[in-house]
Amino acid sequence: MRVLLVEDDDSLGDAIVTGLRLEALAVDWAPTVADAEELLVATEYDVVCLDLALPDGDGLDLCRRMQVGALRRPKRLLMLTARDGVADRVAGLDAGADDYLVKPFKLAELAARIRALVRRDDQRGSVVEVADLRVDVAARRVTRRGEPIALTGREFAVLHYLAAHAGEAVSAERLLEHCWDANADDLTSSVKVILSRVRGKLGEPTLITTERGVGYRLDAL
Amino acid sequence: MRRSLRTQLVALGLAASVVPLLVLLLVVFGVEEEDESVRTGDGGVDVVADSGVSPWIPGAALVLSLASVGLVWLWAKRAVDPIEQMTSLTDDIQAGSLDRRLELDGAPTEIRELGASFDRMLDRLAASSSLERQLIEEASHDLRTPLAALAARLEVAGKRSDPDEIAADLDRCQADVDRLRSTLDLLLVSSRTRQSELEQVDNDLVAVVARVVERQLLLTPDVSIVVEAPLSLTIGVDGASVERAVANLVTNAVEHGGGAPVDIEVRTLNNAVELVVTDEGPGIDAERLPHIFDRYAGDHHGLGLALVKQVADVYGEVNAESPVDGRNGTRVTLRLRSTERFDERFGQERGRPASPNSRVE
Repeated sequence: MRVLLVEDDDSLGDAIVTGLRLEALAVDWAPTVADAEELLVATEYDVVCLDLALPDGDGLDLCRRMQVGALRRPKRLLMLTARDGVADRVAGLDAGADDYLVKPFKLAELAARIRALVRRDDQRGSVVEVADLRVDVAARRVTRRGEPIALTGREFAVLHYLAAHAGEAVSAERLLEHCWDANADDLTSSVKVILSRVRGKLGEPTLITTERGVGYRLDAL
Repeated sequence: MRRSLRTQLVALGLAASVVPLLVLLLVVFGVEEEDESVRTGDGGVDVVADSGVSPWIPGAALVLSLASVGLVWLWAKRAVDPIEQMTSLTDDIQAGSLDRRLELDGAPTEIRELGASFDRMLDRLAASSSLERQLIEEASHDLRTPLAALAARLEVAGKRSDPDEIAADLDRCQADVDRLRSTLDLLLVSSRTRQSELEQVDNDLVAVVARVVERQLLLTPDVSIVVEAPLSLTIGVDGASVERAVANLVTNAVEHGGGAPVDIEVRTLNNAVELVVTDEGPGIDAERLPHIFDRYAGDHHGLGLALVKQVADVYGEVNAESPVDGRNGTRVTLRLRSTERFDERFGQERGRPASPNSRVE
């Protein structure tokens, strides 16, 4: 899942990005409103985590602009803030936020809330089952025929995205947009390479089929 | 036994009005009896039918007594009622919010003044409580972000297995803790300045500088600090706040000085005391220079210098220049004016450095 973090504090931003990447999420980080807008024009994020007090503007304004303006509207919006009054929560939710988290928070909770927000759209629980394959998103665990399969963060992200859209052909561009963050420039882990590794680890019979010119599909055979 | 003011006033009032009346009656009856005996002795020349007292007298006495009881009761009520009203109002205020006031406009002057004085006290209490609430809210807001960073970093470190990565995370945790500490210092000084709780006590600025330098040298023994100061220089300031400000200036100079010696000069100039801290580091960009004392300058050092500014705003001023005399470096001048006269003492040879003006390596 592709996440945009808008947070001006260097130390907190760096810690959150590192923590969420360890949770197999693709995270981009914008320290200012201007940086966030630049990224939002180009990419459709699954979740945007937005700090309210930013050096060059108010997070609430950015939030409202995301609802109407030229920016690509993220699927879900989570507000991170140091203000915890009821009025602040109401203002945030009214401006279009789907969820609200007050600093300081547990990274585990932030990651869980992000996953919960993503699940709101795909109508599936935190465990996706396709044939004998079981993807437990919350525990970040994959099993096939009860046997655990060890996947790297990127591999898990790709499999999770395919599982969340099981039965649907997902293009390589979509996988790139949702499972790779802007800083990922390791060419060795291109979509093709990662998919062949995932296929190899899942074993036979293969559950992921390639539809030439369309994309990849995870489906029960 | 404690009696109520109302009972006491009624008793006193009755005593003041009925007792003279009774005395008057006794006197009147006594005189009449004397008159009678005199007349009897005369052989009852003009024995009068209306011998004895005029019936008007007891009647008038009764009416006067009743009237005075009534008046006394009214008098006590008028004196006690505003007090009872105040009691119930203050009880209400105590139970409710500090925003309510007595506003005893209709009451007698003395009671009104008491009420007004009470209202002024409430004004002060309300102002102080709202300032306190505001400070706590700001403090919690300002502490949340560094605390969140520390918590997140610890969580990340807990998930790592590479010892190098864990060590790097711990370094960053340390930086977050330092930032929390500077935030706390700043909040403390800022709350004290805003609540006007800074004390003006005689403090030896040179001793303050010596303590700061000693601590700094423990932390960074490789950087030399050159102090030029009189033997002592007493100034009426809040010692703890000024010491924090001086410590922040020195730490800042050492951290940004690139390992070169840091120069500290304490001097008096036009009825003020100047503390000048100069480093030979790369200096500060011209566009950043006006903002280095801003609270939200962005980096962690902004907090330390913001504290200096808070203290300077109370006692004088602070300014920074960079480059210094055409060379690389930064010079920060903290000028303190005491409300009291400061007292300067030099070493035996005036102008020549004496201890603690020693060169510390």
